[in-house]
Amino acid sequence: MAEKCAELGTRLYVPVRQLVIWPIAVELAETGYKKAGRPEDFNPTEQVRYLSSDQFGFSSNYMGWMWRERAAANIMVGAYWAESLQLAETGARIGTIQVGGTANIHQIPFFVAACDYALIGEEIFCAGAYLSKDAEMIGSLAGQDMGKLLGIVLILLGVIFVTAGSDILTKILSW
Amino acid sequence: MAWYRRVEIPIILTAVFCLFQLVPYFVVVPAWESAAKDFVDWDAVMETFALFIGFTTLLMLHGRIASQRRRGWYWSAWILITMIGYTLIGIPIPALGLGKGTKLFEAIRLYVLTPLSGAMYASLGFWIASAAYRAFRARTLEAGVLLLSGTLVMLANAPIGTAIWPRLHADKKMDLRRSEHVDDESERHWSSPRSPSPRG
Repeated sequence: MAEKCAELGTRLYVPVRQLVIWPIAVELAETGYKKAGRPEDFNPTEQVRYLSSDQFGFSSNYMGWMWRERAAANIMVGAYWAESLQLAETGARIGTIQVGGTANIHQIPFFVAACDYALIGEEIFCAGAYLSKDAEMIGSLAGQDMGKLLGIVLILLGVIFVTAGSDILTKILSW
Repeated sequence: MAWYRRVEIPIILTAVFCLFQLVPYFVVVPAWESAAKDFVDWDAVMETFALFIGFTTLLMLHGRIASQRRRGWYWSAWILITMIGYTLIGIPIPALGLGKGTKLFEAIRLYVLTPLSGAMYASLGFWIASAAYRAFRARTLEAGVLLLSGTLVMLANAPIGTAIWPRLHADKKMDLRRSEHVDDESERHWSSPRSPSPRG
């Protein structure tokens, strides 16, 4: 996204809630701008902002920032709780194009109701791979699917063994 | 490119430490669980040091906005005043009445921060009403059934539903102010009459 924004000359803002993520976010955004050949357009302090670690401190700051800048697009993908609807509704009032995605099942309905496009659960992991067609990302999805398959097989085996009165699988996993 | 700036290194580190935390959930090895817990403690220390990064970036950003009188500079000035003020109040100098747990620190937390959080949480009701008015349309039969069932569920969980029809009530009672894991810090927080419901 940073690369695309740099190519088009669109201002990118990245609100950050967890402090340990801030340097990573700066690095990712800066890399995107460098890939687009416009590193001089990137201002890490202005564009990647740590807002607050407090839930509603973050959401109130985010809402005010979005309102003042009149954001044209709002991409919310990740872990959200009660602030999801506040952010999505603020974007809706501004007239922002919104994409919302979270694995938190309690917040998905709010994103579906308030955002233009919603990603539900695992779709947030697939969206990037699907759009970019990046071989590594698609490969990581395939690996995750293999892990899920292994989990399903273990569950089925566990059900069968326990129903048959055997705890061998439990013992194997608890060595 | 220098070897320590290669992109693969953080990816490998992330994968290793994530697996290290994930495996104990499925395979019980006491030594491994102990090591995983140590890594969580290391993370807590890292986050504490990261506070300095956040403090510095906020100072730089809002200091520049306020000093240059850019659009919305008064909000930046207010952030600086509250951030620096509360930081100074939190410095552990008991002789001056400063520090965590002191009267002033707790007063700000209980009578300013907590009601503000509660107010923000309460405003969600208005946001939900606004989103519902915009989004809930019974365009199809299935949507109409979903709307009706959602209405019944909401009435069952609100006192007005029971007032309308006494047999319409939820079977379970939820205590929104308590969670299963309560420690001293959260006990003091939730025991305040102004504390909001837990985040959800």
